Amino acid sequence: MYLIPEKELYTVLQIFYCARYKEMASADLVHELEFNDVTYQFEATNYQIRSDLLLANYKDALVKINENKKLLSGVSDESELKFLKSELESLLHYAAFLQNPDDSKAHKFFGRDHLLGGLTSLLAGCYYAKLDDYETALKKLHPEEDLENVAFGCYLLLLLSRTTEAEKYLKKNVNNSSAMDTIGYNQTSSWLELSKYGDDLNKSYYHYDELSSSSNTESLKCLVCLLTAHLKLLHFPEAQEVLDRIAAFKADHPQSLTNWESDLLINQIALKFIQSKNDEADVLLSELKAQNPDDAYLKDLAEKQELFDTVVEKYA
Amino acid sequence: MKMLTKFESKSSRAKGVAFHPTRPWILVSLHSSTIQLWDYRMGTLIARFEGHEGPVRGVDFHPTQPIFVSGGDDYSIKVWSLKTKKCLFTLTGHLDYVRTVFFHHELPWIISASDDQTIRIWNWQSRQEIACLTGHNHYVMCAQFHPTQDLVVSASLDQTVRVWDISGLRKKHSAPQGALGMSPMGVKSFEAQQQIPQQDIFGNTDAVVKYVLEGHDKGVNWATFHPTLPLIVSGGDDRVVKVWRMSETRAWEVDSCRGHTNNVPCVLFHPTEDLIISIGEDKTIRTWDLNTRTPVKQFKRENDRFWLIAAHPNMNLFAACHDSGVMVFKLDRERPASTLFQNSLFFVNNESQLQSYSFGGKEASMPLLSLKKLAVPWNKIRSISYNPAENSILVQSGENEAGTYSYVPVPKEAIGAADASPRGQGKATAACFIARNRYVTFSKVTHKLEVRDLNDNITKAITLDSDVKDIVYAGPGVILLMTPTKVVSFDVQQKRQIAEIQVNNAKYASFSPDGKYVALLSKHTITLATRKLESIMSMHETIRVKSAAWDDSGVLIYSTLNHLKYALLNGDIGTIKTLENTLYISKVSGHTCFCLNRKGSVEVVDIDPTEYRFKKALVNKKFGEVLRLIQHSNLVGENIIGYLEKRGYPEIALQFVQDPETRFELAIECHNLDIALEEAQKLNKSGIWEKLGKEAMSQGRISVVELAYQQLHQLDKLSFFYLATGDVEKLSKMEQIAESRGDSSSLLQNSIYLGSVEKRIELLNQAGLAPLAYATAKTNGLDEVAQQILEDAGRQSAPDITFSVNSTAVLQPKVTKPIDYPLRVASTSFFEQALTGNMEHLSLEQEAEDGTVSETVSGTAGVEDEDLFSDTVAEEDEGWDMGDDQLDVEIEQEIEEDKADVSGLPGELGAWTRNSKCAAGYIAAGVFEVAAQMLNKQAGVTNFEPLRERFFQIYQASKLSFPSVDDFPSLPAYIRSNPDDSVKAAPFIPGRDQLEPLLHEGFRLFKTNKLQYAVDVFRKIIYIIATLVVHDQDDEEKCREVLTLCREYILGLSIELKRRSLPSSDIKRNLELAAYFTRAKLQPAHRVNALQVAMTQSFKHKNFAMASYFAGEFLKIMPSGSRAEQAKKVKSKADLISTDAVEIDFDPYAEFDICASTFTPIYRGSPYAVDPLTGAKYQISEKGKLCSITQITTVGASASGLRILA
Repeated sequence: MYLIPEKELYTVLQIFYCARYKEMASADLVHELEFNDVTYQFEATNYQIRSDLLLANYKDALVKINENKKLLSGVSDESELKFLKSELESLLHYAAFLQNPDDSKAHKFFGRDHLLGGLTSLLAGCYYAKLDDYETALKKLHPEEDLENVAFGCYLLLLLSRTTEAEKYLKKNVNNSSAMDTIGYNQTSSWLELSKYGDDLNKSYYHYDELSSSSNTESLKCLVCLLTAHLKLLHFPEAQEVLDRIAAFKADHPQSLTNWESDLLINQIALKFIQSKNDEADVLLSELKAQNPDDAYLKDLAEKQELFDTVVEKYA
Repeated sequence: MKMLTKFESKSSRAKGVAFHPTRPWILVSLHSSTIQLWDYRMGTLIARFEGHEGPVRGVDFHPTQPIFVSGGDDYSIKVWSLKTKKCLFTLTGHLDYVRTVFFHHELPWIISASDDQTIRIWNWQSRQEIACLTGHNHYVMCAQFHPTQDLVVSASLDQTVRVWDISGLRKKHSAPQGALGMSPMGVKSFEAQQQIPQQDIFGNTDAVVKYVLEGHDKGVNWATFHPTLPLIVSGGDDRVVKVWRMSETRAWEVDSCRGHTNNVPCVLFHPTEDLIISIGEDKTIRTWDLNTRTPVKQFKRENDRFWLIAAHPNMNLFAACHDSGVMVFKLDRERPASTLFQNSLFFVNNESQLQSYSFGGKEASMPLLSLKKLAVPWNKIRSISYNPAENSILVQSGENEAGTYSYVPVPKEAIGAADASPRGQGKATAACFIARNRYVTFSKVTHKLEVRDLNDNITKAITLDSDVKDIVYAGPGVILLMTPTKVVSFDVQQKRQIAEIQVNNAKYASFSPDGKYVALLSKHTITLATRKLESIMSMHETIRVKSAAWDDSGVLIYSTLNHLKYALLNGDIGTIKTLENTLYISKVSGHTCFCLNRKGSVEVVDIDPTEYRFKKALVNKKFGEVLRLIQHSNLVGENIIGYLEKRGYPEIALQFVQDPETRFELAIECHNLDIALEEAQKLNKSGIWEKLGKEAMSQGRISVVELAYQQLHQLDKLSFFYLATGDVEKLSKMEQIAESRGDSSSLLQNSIYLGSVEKRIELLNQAGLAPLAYATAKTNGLDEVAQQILEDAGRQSAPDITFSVNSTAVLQPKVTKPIDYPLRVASTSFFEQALTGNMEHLSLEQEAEDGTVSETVSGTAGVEDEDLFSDTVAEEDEGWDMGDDQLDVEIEQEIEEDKADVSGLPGELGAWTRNSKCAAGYIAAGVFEVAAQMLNKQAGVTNFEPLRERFFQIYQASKLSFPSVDDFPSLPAYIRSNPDDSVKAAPFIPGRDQLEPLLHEGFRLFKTNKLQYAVDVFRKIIYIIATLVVHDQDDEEKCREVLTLCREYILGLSIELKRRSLPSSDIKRNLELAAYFTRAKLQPAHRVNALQVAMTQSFKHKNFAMASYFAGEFLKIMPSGSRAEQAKKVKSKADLISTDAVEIDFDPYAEFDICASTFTPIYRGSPYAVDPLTGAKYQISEKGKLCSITQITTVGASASGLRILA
């Protein structure tokens, strides 16, 4: 079952998927979008709650969860009510887990065999992924029910370098054209495409080019992905142009999130090394070390340095 | 509107032309009295008809019968047979030139117009004139029947057009059922009509003038009816085309079309469009809008006046006669614009409406949109391109300056053909989407390629070469540029050419579903190429190629004007079926070929893919598939048998053949004696038995040989055969046969073979050769018989014969068991085994793709060869210096072991290691140990610390990261050396582009005397090259040259740095190093510095001879300038003294190298050690030390040589 978003929900999805969480969290949904269906309002608010969670605004999230609870009184269909309640509950548990990773209630909730609702299974997947238990996370997802579950499943498979499997996962679970038109699907397929080469890579480039060329969808995250696409396509001058755009974007949006700074720095380092500007790359590397010392990239580099030391030693 | 010329003939003035209703033929009547029959599709002259005297002005094919009619200046009308190519009969009666002749569409009538001022109607079956229409008072230039009604229209130089009612004539002369010329009933009825007395030939009661149309100011040359509307169009010497309308009761002039600047000899209505087409003696063909009577377009011929134009009765074709022949053309293309998306086709029907067609449901939608307003008037929509993301299309129409594009949203559901409301429009001769949010427009007038976003804003503009005529979509962001001589693959984003292929006038491109191959279609040529435009094969088609699509299995299905054909990648082509009408293939799926026809609708054509699948399987050695097809399909025909024989598969061909003779030949070819014998018995011909015997003999199948000899009655051979096989019994039989046949010679032969002496003696005796019989008996110890012979001969004493003591009797054949003795093993092929049901030992694993021989097969063959020639191989190996190769093997093996350790790498990095042959690939994958091992084995690298920075540059340059799910780890991404997924995965290795700038930097530092910095830069270059990957040999060669250059510079600079560090007291060493510095192979501009140092130092320390030498060398490079002047001075002064105060170890005229460590000469013949990376030479004492040039390699280390070529 996939929702075919009404106009107002489409806007919400667009903002959420373009990672404009601050905008999303602070939006006055009810007044701005004038929902004509309480379910849509509920769902939109869920996105708002998730934005709050991503921003670590747990208190705000809790307030919105309570607001959404009130909306449930307007739902008459018993099964739908059950469904929505479960989703809300899952949000509550996930929020608790984020604040306290040892939260036993969350573990009990997400560990259940039967999870009702797409969001519930998604958050269960997220819960286990956070615990680095990717296989359980994959099992918890209900890709047949919800596109976001598919997206997260694909993501996990890509993270595990199981690209072909991810591709099949997407194809198997999304096979109707209306779902293929959604921004969620496009986003997921763009991850896949960005992991690949040839025509797929070109497609992902155009996807991010499209998103980043409209003020409605432009975000630092899209620009970083666009940068990645350019670099993979060996479009180095264009990559430099995107970096300039990123600098301009940051200047125009001083309050924008810094979530993707590590990715940006890693990609910048690659470009500097490609340009043989090794000194500048080293400066960026120091910056990355300062900003995010636990980054997996740095850990990997440290391992490689050790490895190189053994090589030096071996032949000395 | 565009004139597309399909055929042109060259001849004397052509006055009349007619299209055959069904075949691609035209009749052309010439002013020279000849009538030509042309095949305009093939461009060949089929026949010439001679018979008229003087010009022939009118010709016409019969609509159904194989005859045609002609009329000429000899006043006669002739009816000809197309079968016999002869004149059947001549109709006479006209008293002056006959201008036009036409058959009636239904009745067996011919109408003729003549300068004798009459129009006559003839019955060609009774060969009689049945009406003579009088009324015109000048030459009648043209007379034609109405296509459906009983009317005739005529045009005359009396300035009138007349419409005649001939219904009376029909009533009188034809059967009410019609179709007189075609049905037996009609013929019968006509015969009945013959009983009616003929009317007076000048009586007009049967054909009366209905209307007289006056309006032309001069004589009227032509008048014709509209095919469906009550309209007439006429053209006259007043240079005007007039349109007339008729009602039941009257007719009147509607309008005039003015424009021709000379007489209008002919005009007609377009059969399907609202167009009038007129021709003129002003050498133009003009088209007019029937509704507005305004000119649409004119086409001019340089030198030829036009005389007549005819329209094809069923197709969009016209033929126009002119002073030097005839031309066949069509106005505007007939190819419906279309584009594929997934399982559906979007196409534009003949009403300019967009429709979609579902391949799954085999159903076309209702019209989705009307594109009429988007099409340039009188032009079809040329192309459409679909954007699924936006559900919109790009429409292109019109040519050259008139070309336009429109970007139009498509309604989700068919709600009727609503007018399209474009979101963007402009000028372009081609347009297509290149991404979900971008499209390109191209104008061949301005040569501009513009990339546009969905708001129609230009995001990029590129000026292309002026020879680019068209563009074709070739994948996201990529288009093909079609030029008259080549096709170029062009990356729009990068504005760069990716690849090109030389193809003349390619117009269309069709990509295979997997995108690996492309078919480029020219008018008569199809070129198959890879996606990178590497040519695979090219083939010529005599008939024009119209379209192509790849089927699911990668076979190209293409259509010509009248055939559906296929082409395999190996160049095999074949015909699938003949087409009645031209079709444009859209998609091929299994047995179904989806095509668009010229009516703008989808036609589903069932095809039999067996033949091409069979051939493809055979070519690709997919023997399992071949077998399946043989067993489950009806593959028959000479074609496939010939193909199999040609391809070397007679045993497969055997499966299809019934004819015993062919089967026999094939069986012999594939050495199948059983089938050959079976067929030979059926055929029972001496030639067949001979062949069989020969083949059986070569295989050692003696039973078959025996049978063949028996059948051939080759008794001598048979006897010898039994002798050879030791079959005494049969040999005795042969003796008996010889005896019964009275064949003495054969009997003697057999008796010798059998050792039957008595028989031989008897035979000799009977033959009157008593002495020989006696000798035979005597030598074989048969004294009694000998005595008897003597007695019988009446001899008393024995003749004096000396017998050799050692003589022995002829040995009798040794009795052996007659068994086959295989001379040549005729093993059964895969197919033979499979077809005989022996599948147990057959493995299909030997199947290989694309004709490549599978490893198993080639491996086996290799082993066999090796066994056969094992001795030779060993000898050859000894003669080779295998040192390097052996080293390579060792390295490969060790690396193989290491590869096992890298299996845990993520997919992409794992692929890099699998595909890498150079150290850099392993570095990029992070497998530093293997990379180090390779560098050590290949180049003797032992000190890795200086390479640390380079290792990490390579490693990090290809690692990217992109965000996906927030609050979770980002996903890694990797940069490949080529982002095209059809190429093997290999990492991007930075540094190649730095070599040149770094070299220049090194030179600059050299020039500015910063020698140590220069050395560091040259060394950096060495490190880059040592860990580089290049993709062609030229590049590799360049890198090796740079490596040598760096070595020489580091050597030279190190010597100079060393010299500078010497205490001033060490003059000898100073002079030596200065001299050695000149031996470094620097660029001339830099070598002068070394020479100057050496010259100055030598002169300064009174080594004048040396100073003179260095000055001389200096002047060879730099003969003028201030520095040269100084050198000249030094040389002249030094030459005066010409002695050396200090003896140094430097012989300017000897060949030697300088040790890069000790800086001492290594003279030729002296032992030395080499740096494996740069080739720098060292005194042997330096072996094992760190190379001072590279500082990473060990001098004299055994190494296989650096590999940097991918």
